[in-house]
Parts: sequence; C-alpha cells; structure tokens
Amino acid sequence: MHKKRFFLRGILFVGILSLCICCVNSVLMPKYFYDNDWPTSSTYIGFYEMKKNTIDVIFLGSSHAVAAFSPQELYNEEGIRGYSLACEQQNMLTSYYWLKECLRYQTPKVVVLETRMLFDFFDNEVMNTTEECTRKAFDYMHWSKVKMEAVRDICNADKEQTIESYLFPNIRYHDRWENLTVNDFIFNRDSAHCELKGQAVMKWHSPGTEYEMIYEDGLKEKSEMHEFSQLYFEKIVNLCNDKNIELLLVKTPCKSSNSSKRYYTMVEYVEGKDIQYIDFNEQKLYEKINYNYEQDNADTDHVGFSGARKVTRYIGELLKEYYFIESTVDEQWEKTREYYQQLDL
Amino acid sequence: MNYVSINFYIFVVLCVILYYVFPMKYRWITILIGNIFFYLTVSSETFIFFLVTGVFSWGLGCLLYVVNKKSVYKEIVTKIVLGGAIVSITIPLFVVKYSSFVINMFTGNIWKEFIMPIGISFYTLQMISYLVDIYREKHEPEYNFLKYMLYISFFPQIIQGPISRYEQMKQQLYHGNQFEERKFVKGIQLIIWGFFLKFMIADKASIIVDTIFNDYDVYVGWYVVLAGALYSIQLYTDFLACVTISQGVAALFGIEIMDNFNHPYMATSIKDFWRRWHISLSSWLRDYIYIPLGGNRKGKICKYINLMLTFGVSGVWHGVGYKYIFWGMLHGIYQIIEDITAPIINRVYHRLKIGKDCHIRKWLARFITLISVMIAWIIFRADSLRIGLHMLKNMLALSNTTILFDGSILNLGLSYKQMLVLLCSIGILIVVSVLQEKIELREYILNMNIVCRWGIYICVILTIMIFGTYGLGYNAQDFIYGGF
Repeated sequence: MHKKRFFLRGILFVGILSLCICCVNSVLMPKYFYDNDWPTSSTYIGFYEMKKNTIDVIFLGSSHAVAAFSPQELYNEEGIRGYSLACEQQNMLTSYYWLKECLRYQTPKVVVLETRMLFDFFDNEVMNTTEECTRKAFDYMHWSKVKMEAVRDICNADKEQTIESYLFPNIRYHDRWENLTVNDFIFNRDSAHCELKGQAVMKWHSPGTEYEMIYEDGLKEKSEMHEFSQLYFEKIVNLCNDKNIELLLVKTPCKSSNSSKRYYTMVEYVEGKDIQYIDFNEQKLYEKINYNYEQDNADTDHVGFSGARKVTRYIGELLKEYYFIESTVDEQWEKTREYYQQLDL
Repeated sequence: MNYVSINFYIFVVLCVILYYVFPMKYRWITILIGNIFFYLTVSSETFIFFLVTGVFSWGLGCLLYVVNKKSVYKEIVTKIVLGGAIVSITIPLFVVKYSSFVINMFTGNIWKEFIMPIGISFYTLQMISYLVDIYREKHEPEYNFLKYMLYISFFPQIIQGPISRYEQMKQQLYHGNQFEERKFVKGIQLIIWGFFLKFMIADKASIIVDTIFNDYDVYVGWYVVLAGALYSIQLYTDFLACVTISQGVAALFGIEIMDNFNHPYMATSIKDFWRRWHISLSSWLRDYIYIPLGGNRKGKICKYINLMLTFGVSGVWHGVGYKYIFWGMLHGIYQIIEDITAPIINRVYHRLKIGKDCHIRKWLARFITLISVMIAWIIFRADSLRIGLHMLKNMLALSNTTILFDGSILNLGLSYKQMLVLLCSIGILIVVSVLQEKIELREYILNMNIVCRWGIYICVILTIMIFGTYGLGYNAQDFIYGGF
C-alpha cells in the first residue's frame, strides 16, 4: 500500500514536472511569426489549422520558394487552393519529410518544388543547409512516425545532432534565456496570424544590376547535383509517383553565375520523365511573363512582392491548363483575401 | 553514456525497477548485470582486460587467504604472495597509463597510447586494498567470483570513485536492500544537486578557465589569479558533482557510498585540506602507503621522506607528466613547511595573545591554505609543468587590477548574464555548505509539506534546465577526475 502510494505520487510529480518543462520549452523555442522576414513558425502552425483534404497544390523549397510562391494570389487569380510549406534554407530532406507530413492531412494533386537546393548551397554542411534552419523547419512539426523518421535521418546524416535535442528542445535552445523578449511569452497572439499560407512578402528592391538570363544559344555546360540532396529529391519523385501526385519543378528568378549550368542539368534530368521543369531565368519564359529583374526582385536571390505575383500567375495558368486543377471556392482562402489586398497598398 | 546523459538515467530506471522486482536474495545479480551492461556500453573494447584483471585479483585474494591460514612459513610466503599480487595488479595500470610517457622520455619517440580501461585508476586501488586487508586479516576473501566482480565494477562509482573498501560495501551490495522511500528520495535529491554543481558551476567556470589556460601567454596578473580561483571551484564542483550523482544513484538501490569531500576549501592547513579533499584517496594513501612506510613513527626525517613519497605516488596516480609529480611533491613540501613552521607560528600567536579559536587566526589560515592549494592547481591544470610555472610567473604581474572593474572579464567567454548566474550559483553552493554544517538539509527538505518540497525540486530542475551550461552548442565537459 505504502509503495503504491509512493508510486502514484511519483507519477503525479513527473506529470507536473513534464508540464512545467513543456511550458519552459515553448517559451525557449524560437518563434518566426508574420512579423519576421521568414515566418517559418507561422507557415507550419497555419498548415495544421487547414481543414483536411482542402489543399490542391503544395509548394516546397527554400527561401526562394517562400518569396516567389503566393498561395493567395493563386487563389485570387485562378481559384486554386495552394499552400506553401517552403521555408528558409529548406533542404531536400526537409522538403521530403514535410511532403510526407502533408500527406497525412491533405491530398494535393500537384507538388511544386523549387530546385535551388538540389545544388551546392553550403559546402561545409552535410545536408546542404545550416542546422539552425533545418531545426527551425521541424520545431513546429507535430510528433508522429514521420517526424521520428526525419529526426533519425537528420541525426544519422549529421553526427552532431541528437534525437534527445529534438525530444527536449531545451537541449538545443536553453541558452536563449539571455535573449528572450516579451513576444516569447505571448506567442499565442502572434501565432494566430497565418494569413499568407507560407508566403514571405518582400517589398524592398535591392537586387543590383548585371542580371543575366539563360539564352538558348548559350554554353550548355552542366553542374553536379548535391549528392545528399539528390538522394532525397529522388525520394520526393518516388513518393509523388506512388501517390499519383504531379511534380512540377521550378527555378525562380535569381542572379547566379551558375544559373545556366543548373538549368541544363535539370533539363537533362527531366528528359524522358513525366516531370515538367520550368526556369524563370530562361529568356523565353522571362520575357513571356514580362519579368523585370531590377523591379521585381527583392535581392539577388529572392523574388519581391510584384515578382511573386508574376511567377505565381504563370504557375496558376500552368496548373489549370496542364494539370487540370479546377477552381474552387473555399472559405479558408476567401477570408484572407482582404489581408492580402492590404499588402498591395 | 556518462553520468549526465539521458541514456544513463533510462538505464538507471530500468536497473532500479529490476532490482526491486527481484527477490531480496538475488537483487545483487541485477546490479551485476547493470555493471556489465554499463561497462560494455562505455568501454566494450577493454571489458576483457577488466575481466581478466578481476579474475586474477580474485584468485590472488583466495590464494593469499589460504597461504595465510595454512602455510608453514606463513610470514614470508604471504608477504611474497601479497607483494607479487600488488605488483602484478599495478603493472597493467602503469603500462596502460605511463608506457608511452616513459618511452617518450627515454627515446624521444612518440608511442601510440593504449586505450584506457574505464576506472582503471580507481578499481586498481580497490583491488589492492582488498588484498592488503585479506593479508591483514581484516576480512575473508569473497569466494563467489561474481560477487567480487560486483564489488569492483559497481557502476555508479567505477568511473570516478570514491574508492570504497570491501568491508564498507559487501553488506550493502550482497544482501538485497528493502525499498525505503526516504532513502530513495534522498538519492534523487543528490542527483539533482549533482546536476546543479556540474551544469551551473563547473561547466560554466570551465569556459573562462579554458580561455585563459589555452592562451596562457596573453593573460597575466589578475587574469591568472581569476583562472586559478575559478579552476579551484571548477575542479571541486565537478568532482563533487560526480561523487554526489554516484551517491544519489547508489541510494536508489539503498546503498550508501562514503562522502569524498568535507568542505575542503574551509581547511585551515594543507594537512587539514587532505583530510577533506578526495577523502577516499587520501585515506587509501594513508592506510596503504604512508603508514606501511612507517608514517611518523620513525622520526622527523623519515616522516618527511614518507610524506614526499606518499604525495609523489598521489601525483603519479593523478596523471602522466612531470606536472603531476611536481604537484604531488609541492603538497608534500607544503606539509613539511607547515610542520616545521607550526611551533614558530604558535609562539607568535601566543605572544600576540591570539588563541586557537580566534576567528581572525582561522580565516587567515584558511586564506593561506586556499592560496597554496590554488597555486598547486594552476600547475595541475596547465598543459605542462613549463607552462604552469610560466603562468605562475605571469601571475606576479598584478598591475592590471583594472580588468576586474572595466568589463575585460566579460570577454573571456561568459556574458554578463552568464557570469551573474555563475556567481549566484557559487553563492548558493556556499549557503548550502553553511546550512549543511548546521542542519541535515536533505532531511529538512524531506520534512517540509508536499507543496514546498515539490516546489523546491521543480524550481531547481527548471533552473538547471534554463540556465545550465549543457547541450548542443556547448562542448559537454566530461567529468575531470574520470580522466585520471
């Protein structure tokens, strides 16, 4: 009897302690909400609030995708229900597992993947991007078999990572106590703002000049894909095949000396496959959508607000014409129309 | 798996459950299985080596007992067996630890070092004390080999001690212990306190200590004093943390491990310091080296030689390199000076009419002892004897007093806030130490009502969790004494 009481008290104590630890962890975890340049937390919190099986198009990719794809613009123009699960420095592993996670709740018909991360980004990083950004992308993923699998893969790839640090975020973030702000304590207020459905709006313009398009008659050199990224890219391709999801590969407008090499690598990759690849840096397409690098890009890598409109509108047309995605009226996009329109003022 | 890892505590929980589920008579088997599992997890490549040493020392123990009882030439034969046993048990320790150093010293060639079996410095001393005590007829040998292995491989203490004697442990280890709630909770209290010492003090202090010691040429004067002072705190809290956690884990099984410290920095002399610091090693050196050498029974000169030899052994035991021998000898010299100057100092105090209980006298003695110990720690921590002496020379340039006030200290790796946490934690350590002198603090907390009690536990755990130095981004420091 005595032992039993002690045991029950022990369970109660562990319960209270766990609750306190959860509270502390939720304060310590970094938050990237709508007021941040890259609102990663809002993107994923918002995703879980979407009604089941209501999203037709999913966008994946790095910050290039976050800036370039506008789900609200897509809905406003074509009535297509899209959501962007892209995030800052999203490597292919992250894209793959977020796609898997997405499939637990949604049945998208098309996945649009930005291809920048298929090529070298950070040479000294195993997964091609920084640990900080990978973690940021998984912090707000709900715990499930998918997350367990993702964490296991991350820890296998990067030996400095530990499963414990994902289970107990304080192991990673405990030194944040020095930089906590009021926002860390009232995050429930800010986390409610997920109107943009994964888009980051960039309204500044400092892309510099000397932008070069990819010309059809240029040198047809190629560059190597990042090995680790390619591994997970193939997994994305296979997953889409298995689930009968169309995969659209996109490169958004940016200034890079390697644009052309990457373009030809991708063109070669999709040859003979049932996958479409479009590159907005390619002369024909660039001119077709009337893109103006100096006015439409926010910086060398990222598309600005006006650029996102042009890119998204074109993708919208493509989704309708080639992938036969139908227009739908959905309250979830209707109620955020006004918010989006105000951004344009 | 180390004593502050999550895996270790999952393992401990499973062991504890198994221990209390098993019938009393067989509970020791669960600890033995735990010991083997722990050893294999931490150092599987040296397990066979450890096992062979265990078999050998166990066999020698039985042989020694038989020879002692039945041999015709009992005196001579037992001495030969004991001598042979001690030499053969000590040889692996010397080979593993010092062969590379000795070969390098004589030939100048660098040899590949052996993989160090975990706890070799500690279990070797346990084996020696076990054999000598059989020789001295303090106890009989343990005829059950598995039970003997249980004693030398007890997982909460194998990495960093304390060096427990067979007589202290056998009853507790072999006769299963009943579950006692108060003992169990006190064990948890000790584990929490161990984490506090490690993460809130030792590992925070190590950031500044490492910065200064790694760049010893740049830092002079008060910087070296600061490094010495913080290293003194770091080493103490780190070692105390490990021992406290060991005691806590052992208490979960109802086993009491001896205290290894008794507020060493409150010592009023070096002799007193060694009665309070690493008590299990000091008492081992006293019982198995100093006293057998003759102790203080054969005149002053012999006593001083014995002291130097004992501290020389202590230095060699602590590590490989001249600095450790120098550090040990320095403590021997301190004690000789103390012994020689004691009558003069007493006479001066007597003339000044200052009694032995006078607070000023006590605090002055404490201060001098602390400074002496700190100077020795600087040699101990430095990368080599040459660097240690260089740092001591640099320490004398005390003209840079301004660094203590102009914020320079904040450029040593700890921010202002972290520094504040470190100071507060040291303050808490002092308060707890003072309280422990007056009351049985753990008992006092246990007697509080449940809200206060749980409130204290949760606050301390969350404090460590938020403000502690651990996790990704930090190089989690292994326990320092584990390296010896």
